[in-house]
Amino acid sequence: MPSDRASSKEYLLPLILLGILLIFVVYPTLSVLIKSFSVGGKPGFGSYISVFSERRFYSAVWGSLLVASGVSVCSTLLGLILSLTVFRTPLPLRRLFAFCAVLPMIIPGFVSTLSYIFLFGRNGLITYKLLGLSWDIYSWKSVLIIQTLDFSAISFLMISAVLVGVDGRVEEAARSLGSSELEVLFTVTLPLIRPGLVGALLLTFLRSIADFGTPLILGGRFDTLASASYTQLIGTYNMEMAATLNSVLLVFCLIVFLLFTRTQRVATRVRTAAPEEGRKVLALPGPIQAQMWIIGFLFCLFVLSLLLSVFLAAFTRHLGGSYALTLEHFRILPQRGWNSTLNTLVFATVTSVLMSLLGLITAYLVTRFRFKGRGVLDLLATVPFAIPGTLMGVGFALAFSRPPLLLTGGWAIVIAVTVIRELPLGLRAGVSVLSQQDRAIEEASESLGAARITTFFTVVVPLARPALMASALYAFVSTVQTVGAIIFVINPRNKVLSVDVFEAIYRSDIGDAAALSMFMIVLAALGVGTIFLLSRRRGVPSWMRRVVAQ
Amino acid sequence: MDAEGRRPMNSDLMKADLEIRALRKSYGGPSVLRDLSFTVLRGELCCLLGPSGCGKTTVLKIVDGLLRPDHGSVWLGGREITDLPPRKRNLGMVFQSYALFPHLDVHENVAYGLRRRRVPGQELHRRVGEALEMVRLSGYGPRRIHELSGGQQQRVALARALIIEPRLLLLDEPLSNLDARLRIDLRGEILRIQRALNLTTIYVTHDQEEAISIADRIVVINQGAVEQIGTPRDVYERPASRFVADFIGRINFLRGRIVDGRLLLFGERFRVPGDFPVAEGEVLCAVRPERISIGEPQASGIRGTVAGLSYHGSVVRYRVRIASARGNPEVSVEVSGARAVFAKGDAVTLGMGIRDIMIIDEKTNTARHLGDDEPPGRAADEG
Repeated sequence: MPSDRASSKEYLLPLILLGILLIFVVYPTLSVLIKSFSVGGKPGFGSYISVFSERRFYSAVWGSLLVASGVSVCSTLLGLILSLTVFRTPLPLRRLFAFCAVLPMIIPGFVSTLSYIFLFGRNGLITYKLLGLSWDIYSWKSVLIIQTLDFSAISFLMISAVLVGVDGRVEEAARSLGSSELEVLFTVTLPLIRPGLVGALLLTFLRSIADFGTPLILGGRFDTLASASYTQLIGTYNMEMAATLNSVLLVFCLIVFLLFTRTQRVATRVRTAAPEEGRKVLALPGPIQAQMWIIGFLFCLFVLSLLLSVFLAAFTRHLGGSYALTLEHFRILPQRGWNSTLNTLVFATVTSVLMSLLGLITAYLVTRFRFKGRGVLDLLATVPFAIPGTLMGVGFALAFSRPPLLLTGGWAIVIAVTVIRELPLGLRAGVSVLSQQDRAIEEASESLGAARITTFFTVVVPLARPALMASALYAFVSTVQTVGAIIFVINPRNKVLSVDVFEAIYRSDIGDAAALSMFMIVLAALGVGTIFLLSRRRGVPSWMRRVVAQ
Repeated sequence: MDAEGRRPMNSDLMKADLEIRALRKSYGGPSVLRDLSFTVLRGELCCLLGPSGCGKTTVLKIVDGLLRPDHGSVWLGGREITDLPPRKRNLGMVFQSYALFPHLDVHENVAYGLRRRRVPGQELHRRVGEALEMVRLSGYGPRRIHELSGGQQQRVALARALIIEPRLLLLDEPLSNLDARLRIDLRGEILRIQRALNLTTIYVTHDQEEAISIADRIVVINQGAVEQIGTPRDVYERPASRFVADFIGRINFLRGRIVDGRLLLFGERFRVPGDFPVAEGEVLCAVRPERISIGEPQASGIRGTVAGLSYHGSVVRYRVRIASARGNPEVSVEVSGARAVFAKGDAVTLGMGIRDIMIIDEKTNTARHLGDDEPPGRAADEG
């Protein structure tokens, strides 16, 4: 197709998209940055000076960096061990391991936090009831544990995606050249999956540092930049300080994101030939295999017990006191449970549909046309991936609560913020389909008499469908769980489950929170169930893995 | 072009169905096409032959409208189509990768062009049936693309291109993904259909043997420019340049001398025609291996020793070292397998005639037969 000369008509669509991104990505971000450089409504560096001089703020900076680094290392190691066990050993329960490894993806972050308190808290089922301990659960250690658990799914998927792509014949070559299995692992397998490992390290760091719910609930007196920005805004109504903390956070996120895109560019180059059929086994020494298996098994036990304890919490009278079965927590349902569930369902569906469409159109423009500003379009649609949810939320609250774009109060702004948040996912899914697809297929369509728009709908959309489905479902699940980005802009009357659960936990209404969590889990499970149903069709599961791994 | 976009008619040009004029194209880097021009006559099968990366596929895409040239024009039946979008050209293209729609079955793949033309259901089914029959795939309609073999996919791609009753058929290395045996079968098939429909066809290939056996005319392209246009026989027997001589078939390049208006090659003398434009001194000659005869050492001719031989079934190739010449050059000689009687180390005599030798002008990089009465047309068809 004539990609080399664009007529003025062909500029229309890129211009519209660019406009959308300028309004919904650049404008809110700039609003936050500008706000961060003002004190009491006047320009000034006061907030930045506070961040680096007041103990409660600079300890949040250090806290963020240290915990994020710890989470990054721990979850990547855990992901590697699980991935090697599942894909490179003949050990039993591998399917269970794989299932548990991706389960945290489906369990909303708050739910694992909730269960964790329920099991290990002051009145915890395990710590208090079983062991008689009384320890302070609220500290950075708990944040580390729960975030490691939550983000190990990302590591697992990311490392697995690279690991299954490693050509087993290379490992065989090393063996025939005299390597022991351990040497094969360290001289061939691990170096080959290094892009996956580095990617997992960086991505989990990014997720950890931007997460605000876990430190807020579990941190106790420990603060991170994200959680501190929430308390500044909601607790003390200090918008300027919140903006500053988010801006500092943004700098860290952008640096890590930049490194991440670099490694991923290398990763596509390293990717080996088509994966062979069947599973390849590394016959590692027995003790090592045993250790890997025990770590995996403990992990599974932990994940499953967290999930089960939510059910327990939802159906028992009072945690720590009476474990009598009850339905009393479901009394809230008529008031808001149903309403919130319905709202969440509709809102997450609308988000994922809009996101996929916008993502595919952007991907189509970026991969198939050459026009000025193509790189800018690509960048602006990708960068929301790196922007912390809290900054996005604060930015939207700042930018769209005043003319000329007054959007707050309705659903539009909530959907706008989630669509923009998930857009990079749809864009990457679309780009990877389109850049792998033989362009001649679209040329054939044009040659046979189809206009470009016809080609888009008869060829591009059907071929991109598995990837789009996967990214849309992922966006659905993550939108159901999102809090940080929407909590600042959502109208208190427009309830969604994630915010309800968050508020219930925040006021220590564990029973109610558990009951509402059940609905989130059901919704997420519905999403995952759809994935399994669709996975009978070719392509969706592998795309799921790839999409998530991005 | 003039105001109506029509070329002035004359008897010579009326035969030209497709005319490519002075195409230039670059993808931002070095030029891919450098003032490339040629014409294709009505009903003719024209092969674009050249090494990979020479610009063949770019030409095809420009003809189909998938790319726009930086300069130059494309004329079809006397009408300029350079700026027409592909959907208004009605040309049938078969892509190297086949580019079948993986989400559609065979029937829908073939029907795709008709659906774009809003052909009603019954007629559509009938025509798809006919097209599949033509490529001998009747009954394959409901199959999925990935269930087909490479050869079958190729036939579907052909049917899909033919069903729209294209003005031209464009084939981009249609057989390059198939194994040797299937290639020859399908080659015959394409030729049969092309002849039956009397369809003006451009066939892009890098396989010289394929081009020679299928083409009415061959356009040899190198580095984005035409090296030679001619019949397969012209191109093989009277290559117009060193590149063509080297690219098509096997050839020996040998050093000789022009002395007193005669060519001196390995001690043998050959008459050079009076008007032959070569200067006295060293000269580069080219001789096809099968044009050299090999005989017993006592016969008259160029003396040499068999330095090695390779057996290829129908033919045997000898490497004969000429001990008398400077640098001990080796000459490749090809004889029918049945007549191969020499072994390594045997002394032999080589013979060649004046009509077997080409002289290559290393300055202009053109080739000319010593025995030719007239120079072969480098661009004989342009006049």
